[in-house]
Amino acid sequence: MHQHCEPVDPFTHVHEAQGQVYFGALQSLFRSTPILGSILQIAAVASLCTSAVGVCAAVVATLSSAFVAGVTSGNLGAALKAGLITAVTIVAFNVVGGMTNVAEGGQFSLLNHTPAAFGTGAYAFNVAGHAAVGCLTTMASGGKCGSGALAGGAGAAATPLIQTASNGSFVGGLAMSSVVGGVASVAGGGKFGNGAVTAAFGYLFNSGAGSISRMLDGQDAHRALQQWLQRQGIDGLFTEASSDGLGTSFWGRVDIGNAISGEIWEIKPNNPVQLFLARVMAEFYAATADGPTQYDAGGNGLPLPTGALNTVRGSYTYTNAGDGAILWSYNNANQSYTFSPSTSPKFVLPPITPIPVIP
Amino acid sequence: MSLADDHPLLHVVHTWCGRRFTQNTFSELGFSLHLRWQERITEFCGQHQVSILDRYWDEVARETMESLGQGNPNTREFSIQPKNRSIFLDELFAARALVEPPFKSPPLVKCLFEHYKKTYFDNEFRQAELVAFEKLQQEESARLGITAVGWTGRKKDAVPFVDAFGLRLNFQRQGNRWRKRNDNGLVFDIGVDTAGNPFCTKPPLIFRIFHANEPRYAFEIENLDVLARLVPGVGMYGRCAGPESYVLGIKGYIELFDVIASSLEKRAMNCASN
Repeated sequence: MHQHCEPVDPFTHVHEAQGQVYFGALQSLFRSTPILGSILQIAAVASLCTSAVGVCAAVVATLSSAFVAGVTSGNLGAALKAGLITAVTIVAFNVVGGMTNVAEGGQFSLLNHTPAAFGTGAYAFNVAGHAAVGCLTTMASGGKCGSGALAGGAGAAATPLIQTASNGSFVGGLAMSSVVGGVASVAGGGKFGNGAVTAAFGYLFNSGAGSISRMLDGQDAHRALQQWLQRQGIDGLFTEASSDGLGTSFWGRVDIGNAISGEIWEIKPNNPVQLFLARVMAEFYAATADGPTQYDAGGNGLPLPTGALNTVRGSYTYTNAGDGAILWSYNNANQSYTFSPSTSPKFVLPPITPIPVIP
Repeated sequence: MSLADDHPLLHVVHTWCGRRFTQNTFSELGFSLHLRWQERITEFCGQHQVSILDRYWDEVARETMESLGQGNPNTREFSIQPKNRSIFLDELFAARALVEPPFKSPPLVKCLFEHYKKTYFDNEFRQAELVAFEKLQQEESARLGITAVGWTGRKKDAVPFVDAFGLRLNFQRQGNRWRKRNDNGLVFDIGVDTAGNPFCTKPPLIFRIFHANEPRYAFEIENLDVLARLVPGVGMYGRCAGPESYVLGIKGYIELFDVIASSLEKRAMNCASN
């Protein structure tokens, strides 16, 4: 009898086998050390969405939850369920944030959340709301209500302190929230990793939010400086362009470039993570510039406004941090519609009253 | 076979009427910021530099047109070689002093580079120039009857203005593009750049010139500085401080693009006034 054999492409075959080995190794790792899955979920959002764009964080959080659950269980259904629960959790945290706005006398918004001031009714509502969401989503995942509620509630309760301690750092705030949520979850009889993820998501999509506002502020700060530079009438200086007009093109839109000096600058918010990113992006654009002109990350010579630039939306100051990084900061401490280190409510410990010594 | 034989666009741009014809025609339409800029440069450099400046600007413009903006006349490096490479610019390049860091590709006329450095480093000088040009912009806007009704600063605000200015010059609207064809088979295409930051920092226009027989091979002008090498000083139309100056810039660049279209028509007819 003639036996039909499918031809085997040895190259494809080897790659499939390698893929199975990697998947198996990752599965073993996640099963033996579950905290790694939690770290991956939080780190994915922190690393891919450092500019804190809400949509980015929501998509990455959902996909990373589904990925970790799928790899750990080896089950597509579990992956889809985890992704769905994460998506619902994100919506729920955003609803709590919007209702907190209302409790503070503002308007309901799914995307723009004003951090509740410590000790106010809105603050209590926010903590309770986070606890409720933590409880429900943890139960939906097969966990205990108490540990989820503690993780969500503790993360929200600690937010004013975290915002002050992290000095406005997105990644720093996220890490602190994760630890608080993890510890609270353990205290409630749950797993550290689950609590860390619950609290981190709570921070991302509510307490630490205002992300859309920050994105709009970022656009506004970019526009203000770029327009100012255009107005200076300096030959060869170009803004928000993917070519220098002299035959050299870039892999994206360069914030600021100078065709005469061959320099590139990126505009970012003033914090250590964004400083690093600005330098990386300036180097990236310089390295991938394609054309006759050689570009480098920009130096300190770029003219910048000596005072603040004011727009309808806000007021910004700019610093040349060198190596292609131009950092913007809020100039007006009363930009109340945005989250910023300078406007977030300060957590102040209640005064300590000395205990009277009884003779 | 030469490059010009390969692409009909390169063949036509080689017949361009040149910087002076384009500049004069544009000026006759009532636009003057570029002339004021050139006057200030001449004042800075001194009258004895006028002929050198004029020749430098002429030859940079021709090389820019013939290389479709794909090259830097100041460094003599081109991705598309101009058919008539300028010997004058080659000589200026060979004779230039050592490059002063960080300026790798300075203008080849010394006083232009000195003016550039003064603008770059001298805040007081720059602010005085800025004030003077913003006053000129206001005067020109008033003279040309510019109104900015509906302008909020978003890039998409440019669409109705491009529509009005383009249609008046017989550009036909096709979606969000405006096109006209000249008698040399070239298509002149205006687009509005609405990508990236939704707010304007300059007139949000993208221009393309291509031959009707070869639409993919185009002279694409995304960075409007290219136009300032064809007519020195038109970069002043990209310095926008408020609604009127944005609308003036949009109108100025579209009118200039239309003049470039006519300057690339059959040479015998159109360069006669030069």
